[in-house]
Amino acid sequence: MDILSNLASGMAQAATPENLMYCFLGVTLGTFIGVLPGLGAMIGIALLLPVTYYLDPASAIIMLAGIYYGGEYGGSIAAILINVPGTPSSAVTSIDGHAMTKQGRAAVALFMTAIASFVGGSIGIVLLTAFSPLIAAFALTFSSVDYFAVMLLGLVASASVARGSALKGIVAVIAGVLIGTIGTDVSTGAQRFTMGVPELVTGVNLVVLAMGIFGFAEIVASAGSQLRRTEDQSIRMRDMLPDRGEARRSVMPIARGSSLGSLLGALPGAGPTLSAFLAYSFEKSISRNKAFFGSGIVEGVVSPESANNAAAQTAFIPTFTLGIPGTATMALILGALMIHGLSPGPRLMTDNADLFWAVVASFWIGNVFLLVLNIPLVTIWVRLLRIPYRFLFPAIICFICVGVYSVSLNPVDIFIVLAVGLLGYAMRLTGFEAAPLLMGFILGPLMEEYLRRALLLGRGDFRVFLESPISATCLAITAAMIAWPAIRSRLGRRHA
Amino acid sequence: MNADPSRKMLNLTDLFAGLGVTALCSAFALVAYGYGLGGLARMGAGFFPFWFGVLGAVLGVVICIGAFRGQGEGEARIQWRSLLFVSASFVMFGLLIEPVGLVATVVVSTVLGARADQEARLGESALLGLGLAAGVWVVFVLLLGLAIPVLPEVL
Repeated sequence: MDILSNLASGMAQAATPENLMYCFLGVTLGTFIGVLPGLGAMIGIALLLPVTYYLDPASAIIMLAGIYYGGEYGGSIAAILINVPGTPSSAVTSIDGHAMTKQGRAAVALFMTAIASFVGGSIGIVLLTAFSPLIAAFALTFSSVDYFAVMLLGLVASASVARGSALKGIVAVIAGVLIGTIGTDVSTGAQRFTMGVPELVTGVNLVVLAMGIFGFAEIVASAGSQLRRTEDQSIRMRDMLPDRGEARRSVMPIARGSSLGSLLGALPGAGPTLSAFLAYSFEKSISRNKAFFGSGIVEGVVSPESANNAAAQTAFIPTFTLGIPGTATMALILGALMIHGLSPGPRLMTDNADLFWAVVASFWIGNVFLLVLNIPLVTIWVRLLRIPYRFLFPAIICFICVGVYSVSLNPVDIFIVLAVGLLGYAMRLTGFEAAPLLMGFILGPLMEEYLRRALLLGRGDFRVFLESPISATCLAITAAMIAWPAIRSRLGRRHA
Repeated sequence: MNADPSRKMLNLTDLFAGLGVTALCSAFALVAYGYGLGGLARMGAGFFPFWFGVLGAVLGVVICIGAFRGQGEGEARIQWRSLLFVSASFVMFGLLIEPVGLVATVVVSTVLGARADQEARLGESALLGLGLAAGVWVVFVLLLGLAIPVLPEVL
């Protein structure tokens, strides 16, 4: 088996003491950030990105990816204990999870969450391992025409599943694309929108943008708000085991949640949050205990948690094999790959096979670490929830400033973060989401390049996009997605 | 705003948002036009940003129209206190880091930033700032070996 031997060599690379340490650091930090409400994996990755400049690419991606899937584990701890989801994808978990806490059964909920997360994550990794080579091989046949169409589809999909209005989502994407054009144009050499600021000649820095738009806005919005108080509940190991009936009732929800999550995670725009919501509502609709959902039953915890962790792993499939991220967090990972001089896409698996398989192998290791962090060591995280927010946000401000300053040791970057942050806060106030903007920022320059090449290929004729079946299909789906809200409201009006 | 019943449906937040989007995107499009659009087979430097700017400007107008129909989430509340202190914290960091070095800068911007929370106490946040400065020094200066100034230059 080709895949197995690749995985074995990847495992050998991922299991070096150094990479084991970075993997452990990544998942620990991820859990830490996931546990703290208001801090998502996005901010965690943005904060750590400048630090990884000094690591070798494999270690860097191993650590950053660890923050991402570690955050999915951590997010559910806060959701269960204090009814405030640490990450958006664990919001549904809080419904039944927190109800269990109120019944004094938090330990069971935490244990089952860890198990469900581990199973979901493992299934996601198996699929990632099995399908990535196939998809990458298929993607090698993509031309620039196809790439442009697939990216367009990804952008529109990410905008339309965003919370709030799809229109504002698309505007956010456009804003991101426009910010992405700031700097020197790669093919003509023209300097665009630099306004004579020398720092802008190389473009807006990814770290600066992400920190400003997510970090700054988040801090301003949550500083000073008394958003949490822990209910004191001691979590003991011996209280953790579910009774036999609960264990039996959890098997199928975990299996269904994992499958749904794996599938949705790999699709553009969907990601862990949507997976968790759909898994929960699906489980509720087919369950015999429908009436008990929301009152603290274990099915309501394991199904979304297995789904979001499975999705967190399969989300790497399009990122690694096509170079097209499905969510903003994946876009950040993609950005990290590019910062380390790797060009994401189907060639990554052939040209940088070592790195790819080492990262995949590290996912297995990381999930085992997480199981240990979340079952025997869960009490540490519970204690973490008692730190008042007024100590946390000044610390985050400090890390953002130092992190941004460390990128090029230029204080001007701090002021650019502030400017971007004010924009981000204004967007937040007016209902625009930051995630689609980041997607647009990262994919925009790539799309411009593919569009240029595609039109050159078609000698300036747009029909070139309809001649390729892949591109034509993607454009048709994109058009349907844009037209759908209008059609739906028209239909709704007729029914009313 | 004043309580004119005929204007009750107007969503001011969305109106401003739409106007802002249109203004910004038009500015991008206008400047991009100056870079030259080129032909379709040979896209100029301005082609891509121009058309995205135009699209954004149009969508901004659509948001404005929606605002008059009273759609959207309603008024936004600006958290002035945290906005002010968090911004001040960033500004001080940017101004101080080179002349006075890491330790003093981190303490000043931590104390300032902590003021965003009304419950913050001076001694407590100064202590936090010192702790953070130590942590940052270990990670960025000691482990990563960055040339960040640690103490004021005169020393």
